[in-house]
Amino acid sequence: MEKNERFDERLKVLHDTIQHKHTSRIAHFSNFFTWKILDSDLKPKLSEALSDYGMLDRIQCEFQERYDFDVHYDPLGRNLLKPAALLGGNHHLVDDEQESINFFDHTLLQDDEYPAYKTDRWGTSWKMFLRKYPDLKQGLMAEAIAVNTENNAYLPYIKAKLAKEYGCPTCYNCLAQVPHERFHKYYRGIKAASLDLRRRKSELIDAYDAIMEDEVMPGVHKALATDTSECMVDLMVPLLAHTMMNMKQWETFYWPYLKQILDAALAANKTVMIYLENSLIRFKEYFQDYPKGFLVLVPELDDVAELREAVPNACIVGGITAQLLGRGTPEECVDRAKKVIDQMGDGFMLGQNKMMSFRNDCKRENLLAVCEYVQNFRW
Amino acid sequence: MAFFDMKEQVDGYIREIKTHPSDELDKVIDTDPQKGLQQMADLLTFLPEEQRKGAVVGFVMSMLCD
Repeated sequence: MEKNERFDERLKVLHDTIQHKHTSRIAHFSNFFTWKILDSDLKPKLSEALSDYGMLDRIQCEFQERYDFDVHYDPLGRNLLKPAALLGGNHHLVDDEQESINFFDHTLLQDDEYPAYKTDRWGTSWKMFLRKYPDLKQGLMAEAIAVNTENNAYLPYIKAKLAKEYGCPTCYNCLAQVPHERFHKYYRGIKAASLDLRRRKSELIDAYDAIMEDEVMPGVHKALATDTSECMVDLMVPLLAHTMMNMKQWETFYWPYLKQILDAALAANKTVMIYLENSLIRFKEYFQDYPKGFLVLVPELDDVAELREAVPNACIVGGITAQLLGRGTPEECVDRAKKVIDQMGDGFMLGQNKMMSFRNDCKRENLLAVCEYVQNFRW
Repeated sequence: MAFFDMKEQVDGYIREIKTHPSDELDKVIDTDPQKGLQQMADLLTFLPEEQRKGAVVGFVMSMLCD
């Protein structure tokens, strides 16, 4: 990979921080998503930017040139709106006036189809696809596949560009999820998947065991064999669906599968980022026995100091809230950055506490103030 | 600095797709997963043959998670 002269220094700071080594400066992690589009001096409509990868490229570069982050969780690469719009069915509503993207909870897998999904993944996926896009003509689907080649090409392109032009390492290359996540968000929806935890326990366990054995773990092992030495972390695991589970459900439907993934990564001497929605603290015991230098936690609701106490072996990313960045003053934001850096010490990267998506999540002047502070900070 | 631009390439892919007979393009996708997969792969002549089925599978799995 071609790299800007700052790449090696940024990567070393990121890696050393994960290993809880003392670093001369604090790494700055970007958890910014569509806010970047709203902040851009190009002033595009949300729908306009999201359907134009060239514009997203400009916006990402503008964002990096203005704020100079060390690493980006999202380089504006997560975007299937163009092919989805072509196919005619869309579970996203992009509202340019409200500057929002809403995702509608939906059910594609029918109540009794867990056994079919277990044994015939492709066949059931095909059925779900045709439910999502009924009466779809072959020519239109072929066009959508052609359009989707842009999406496939954009993510590796922008990652390489961030490394070459700005010295920003890729946050992660490989992702793994426990089986329940796909049902929670995409196949059954939040409501139906939550009911399934009570009503279809054995079918779920049966299906999840099979998915882990023939799909997730082979994928994880393949990912762990990839050279990810120039990424911030080796594997990323998003934790979303755990928010809807009680402890017993977590122990049955989530933790056994997450543990397999984590243990495989640990055995391969790799690092794992856990990107969290909501909170992790009630599950803290499950993560406390992993060694320092293995886990990176990117929390949403958990206060970073409380999370440090709960899981002291993990590198923590965060510390500045959207509430402060959006509604505070530059001075308040810098004071918070000072406080949290001093409080957290080694094994900490400054970042934001949520996927920064809405205009009110951040004021440019506040972010500039924090960036100036953290970029000049030295122990 | 150059910026991402695949318009010409994608337009070329779509032109290639439209060279297929209109009765094939206008046909509704087969509900049989293997037949449907093959029929769709056969339309993706803008890709090398060995990549076509994978492109259909990858697309379907991506769009289910959109």
